[in-house]
Amino acid sequence: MRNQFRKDLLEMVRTYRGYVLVGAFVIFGVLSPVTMKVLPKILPESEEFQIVFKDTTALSAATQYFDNVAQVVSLIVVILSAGAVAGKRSTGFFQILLTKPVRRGEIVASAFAAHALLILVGLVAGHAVFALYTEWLFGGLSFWGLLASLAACAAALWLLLALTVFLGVVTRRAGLAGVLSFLGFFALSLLLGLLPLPWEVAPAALFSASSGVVAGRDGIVVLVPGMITATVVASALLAASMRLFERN
Amino acid sequence: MSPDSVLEAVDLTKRFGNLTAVDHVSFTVKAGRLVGFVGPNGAGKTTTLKMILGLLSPDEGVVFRFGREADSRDLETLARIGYVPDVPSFPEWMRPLEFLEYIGGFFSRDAETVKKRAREMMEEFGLERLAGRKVEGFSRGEKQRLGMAQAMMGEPELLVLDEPTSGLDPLGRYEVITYMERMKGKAALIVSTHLLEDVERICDDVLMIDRGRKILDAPLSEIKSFREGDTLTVEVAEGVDRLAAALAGMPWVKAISPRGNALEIMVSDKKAAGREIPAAVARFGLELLRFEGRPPSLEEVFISLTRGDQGEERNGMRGGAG
Repeated sequence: MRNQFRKDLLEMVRTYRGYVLVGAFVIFGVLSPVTMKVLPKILPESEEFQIVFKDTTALSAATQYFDNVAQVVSLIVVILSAGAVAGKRSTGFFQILLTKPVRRGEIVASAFAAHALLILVGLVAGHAVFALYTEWLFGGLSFWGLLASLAACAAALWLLLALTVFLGVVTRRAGLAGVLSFLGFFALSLLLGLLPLPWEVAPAALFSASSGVVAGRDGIVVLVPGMITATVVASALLAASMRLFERN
Repeated sequence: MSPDSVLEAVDLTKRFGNLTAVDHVSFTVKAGRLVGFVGPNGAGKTTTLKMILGLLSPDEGVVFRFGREADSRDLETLARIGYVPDVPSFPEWMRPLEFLEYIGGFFSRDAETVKKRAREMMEEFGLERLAGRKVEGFSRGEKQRLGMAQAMMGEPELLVLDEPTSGLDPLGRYEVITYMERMKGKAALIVSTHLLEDVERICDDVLMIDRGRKILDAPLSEIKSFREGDTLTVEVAEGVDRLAAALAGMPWVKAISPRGNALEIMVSDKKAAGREIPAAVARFGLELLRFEGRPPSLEEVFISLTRGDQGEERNGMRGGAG
């Protein structure tokens, strides 16, 4: 497992995919608070129309940041991880790998682990610059809220990653797995919304709930139901992917 | 399964929709033997090899590797097998030494042992001068050598090579053949190819399939002795065309190939041919310069089996491989 994990991690660095992912987190970590601060000043005004901004605060910056993570960064995660298993299956190298003394489930697990680690590194970097700029421009961030939102976003993105890997194993097509997993992630949240359960249990709610926690408006506890759902579903998907890949 | 067998395939069958790619193929590979696995394109060679390796599941039949039924979870058995696919490909961003070290990591946890073995394989396959380059810039021949090197990282007892010389220039082909010759006796090799001269040069045994069915399975020496004299050469001073036309209608003639003033005649009844060819020469008043039998080349055997007796297994030579 360690041998394969090391190679998967190295591959993400050498093929620059890791830089793209971490870079996306950092860019949105900087842009979100800066945009919220300067947008009211840079938008033109005219006699025909006037845009009225409420006072922008740390909460506005956090909402912008977590929206970007939910919509853009998660899409990047899907694109970068869609080929983690599916895209390699048909290559001559995979044929070599499958004849080596390595458990097939470990190939899936190490691909997941390498991507998951990189997502965590990206989140830490993104959160760090977001916190730095938001604190500088607005102030009033909750340190424990930041840490909790980091864990919440990691859980949500790892679920998205597990779904992508699972669909890659099932469909054996990277592109199809990517599209289905992105749709499936939000469909899962909508399905949970149909049940008589609070919205907080939906993994997609982790992004929106994080902004209130980071800004100190809400308690950390609002993140717990979604994190439990995300962790349980991600673990089940990963186990199913490993088992299916062994059978294939 | 005999004790010195490293591989046994029993009634292997694989279907893709309506197409039966491999049809109840059975064979055995014994330790230290080099088996040439030959057949025309699309005969089912690669499908058979993939079933042996566990990359495809057979629809029927079973594979035994080192006495155990093949199972992808049997890592101990997998560690004793090396494999080079027909088109080897590697992570393009890797350099050859680090790729070999990565592969070695599956066989040993000791980093120093892995590094030492990887350096040995770099030297063995002439990869040292490529050490600084990424795999993406490698030629077909260089990739083939890296493919061989990775297959040898675990010091396998069974080496499976799928078309190892196809697409290589003469030098690359010579290197691969030379290496296989060096491997003889150290490990069992099963080499799929359609280059029959390679098989004739280095293999101990021949396994031949056509349209998914086994048509020949025997030691190379047995194939030659069994069929010696089936190809006759008759050379006359002139009038070779008239002679060819006269012989073409004979029931024992399987094929006639003109070679200048000579005819190479594949026959099904050597005794009848021995009587009637000289009689035909005398009847036309031709001057006979040469009349002899010789062992057929593997190519001639291959053509006669795949063209003349399609799908008919040579019972007299069954079960001899390995």
